[in-house]
Amino acid sequence: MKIKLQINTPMKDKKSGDIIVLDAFSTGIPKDKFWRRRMNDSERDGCVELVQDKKSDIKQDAENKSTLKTLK
Amino acid sequence: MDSSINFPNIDVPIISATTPQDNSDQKVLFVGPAIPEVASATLSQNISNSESAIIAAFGDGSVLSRMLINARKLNTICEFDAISVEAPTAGVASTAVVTFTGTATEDSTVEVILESSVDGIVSVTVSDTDTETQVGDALVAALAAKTGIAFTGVNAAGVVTITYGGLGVIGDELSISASSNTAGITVAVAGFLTTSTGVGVPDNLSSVLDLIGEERYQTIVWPFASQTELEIVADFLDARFNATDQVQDGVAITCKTDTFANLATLGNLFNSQSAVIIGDEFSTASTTDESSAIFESPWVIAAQFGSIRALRRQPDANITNLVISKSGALDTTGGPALSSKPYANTPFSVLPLIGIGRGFTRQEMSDLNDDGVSVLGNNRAKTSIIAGPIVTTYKTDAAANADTSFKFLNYVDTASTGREYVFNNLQSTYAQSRLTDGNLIKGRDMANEESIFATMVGFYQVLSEKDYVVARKGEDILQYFKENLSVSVDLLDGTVDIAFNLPIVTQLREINAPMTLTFNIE
Repeated sequence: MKIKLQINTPMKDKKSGDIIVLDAFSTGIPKDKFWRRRMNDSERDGCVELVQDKKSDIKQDAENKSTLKTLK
Repeated sequence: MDSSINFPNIDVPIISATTPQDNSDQKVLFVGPAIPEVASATLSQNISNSESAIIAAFGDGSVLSRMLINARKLNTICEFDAISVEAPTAGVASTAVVTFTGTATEDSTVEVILESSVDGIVSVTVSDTDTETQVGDALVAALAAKTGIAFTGVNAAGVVTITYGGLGVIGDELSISASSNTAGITVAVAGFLTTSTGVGVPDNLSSVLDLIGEERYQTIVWPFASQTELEIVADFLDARFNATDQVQDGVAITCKTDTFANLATLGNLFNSQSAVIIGDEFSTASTTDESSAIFESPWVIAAQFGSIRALRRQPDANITNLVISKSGALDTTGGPALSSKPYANTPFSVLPLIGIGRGFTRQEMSDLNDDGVSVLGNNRAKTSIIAGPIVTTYKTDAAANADTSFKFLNYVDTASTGREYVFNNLQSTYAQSRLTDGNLIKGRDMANEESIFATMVGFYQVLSEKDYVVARKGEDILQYFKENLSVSVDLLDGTVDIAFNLPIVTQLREINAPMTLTFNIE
């Protein structure tokens, strides 16, 4: 599956506001270790956030919550 | 009256030889709060090697004491000076909370680690049937008795509020963890790093460096790592980097505990060859552990690096334990030649190791280096903390073009060492010299373009030899130096303009060696 992350803190040649699409496990956790770790960090520094798909907000919200729960 | 005759009168005075001028000894300035904080900033010179004297001067467990004591563990030779900064107006100390729950069902211990897993272990003895309140009381008592760190506790039914002894936001950088070895007792922490309860920064910090006047410090250890406070020392030293008519450059060392993204942001806020930021990871916060990857306060890490840097560059210092010198025995002795020896792999023998699964990944370290943040890590054998490449925050020139001239601290040190030698020896050689565009007259102190050209070539040769190892050695390179050296004199003003390029020695950083397998060899 794919997930979208919004960059809130410039890093790795990405600007604040950029949205990147990442390969993710079925649990919604990014396969790329770097971004997986940034999602962990985001609880403290808000450096990235999951972007919800507007067409299926409810479903995505549930997935996001599940992802964050798994990361914790 | 003696009426003896001496004829002819003979006068043979002894005149000192012309000797090369060495670079000056290393001096390190430590800036930070004492406990209690002082009413107005104070400079103390020639800090003793004695731990008790340091504590008597700056308070047990203060930022300044811990920096100086830990720096002295590695370096008892160089001159250390210190500035105690002012107390913050309406400053509030940082707090953390340790919560004990349950009743002990055995005799054992609980352990709380504050600030440093080397100096800050507080072990509390617990007896069978002790309640959470009794364990809390025992922790408060243990904190009161603990030396080397500065914390106090207040217990309310097993919930111990721990307060740092110093005022201000600086206490929010401290680590804490707790563990219970006692059946029946559980423990949880809410730490300094996440609760961030400290308020205030030292008053008049922006003018604190005025205290040193024209004094040069090659290293300033600066514990205030947020943008506003770090700018103070970076701007101060940037102005000194190319000071007129004197050599005053130095480098500020600071360390910050934070996440990758926040450290990257901090590094990119600066573009200074005079500022080195060491980043220590804080990414995990569990119910029992809110600590940096290297469980030590960031100012102690900065102080140890500042101390090591000074010792490496101090002539005749024994640095056998600070360098790897498998094919360079001369590198076991400090001096200007160490400016070009890589900082990478320098061991920090008194820092605690990073636990498994913690700390930055290699990719993150590399990214942080590009952002102007240096990172320390475990060696491969996990027996010591070692330095990665030490970078400055310099990234672009004044026109914002990418520029790596001062990316690495080694480049800054090498250039600085070469500049200081040239400065000192030009000043010494031509202290009272006439200037001519004609021939020199033997026995008279004079200079012309040719003699100055020859002097500069002589300097280059010294800088490319073993005592300095600043410039590259070889006939071709010497020829390059000569071809790019220009000397012109203005007799009316008494001005000599010298332009020269210095081909410096750099560091081996990467080896690429693809290996192709071969089977049948014809």
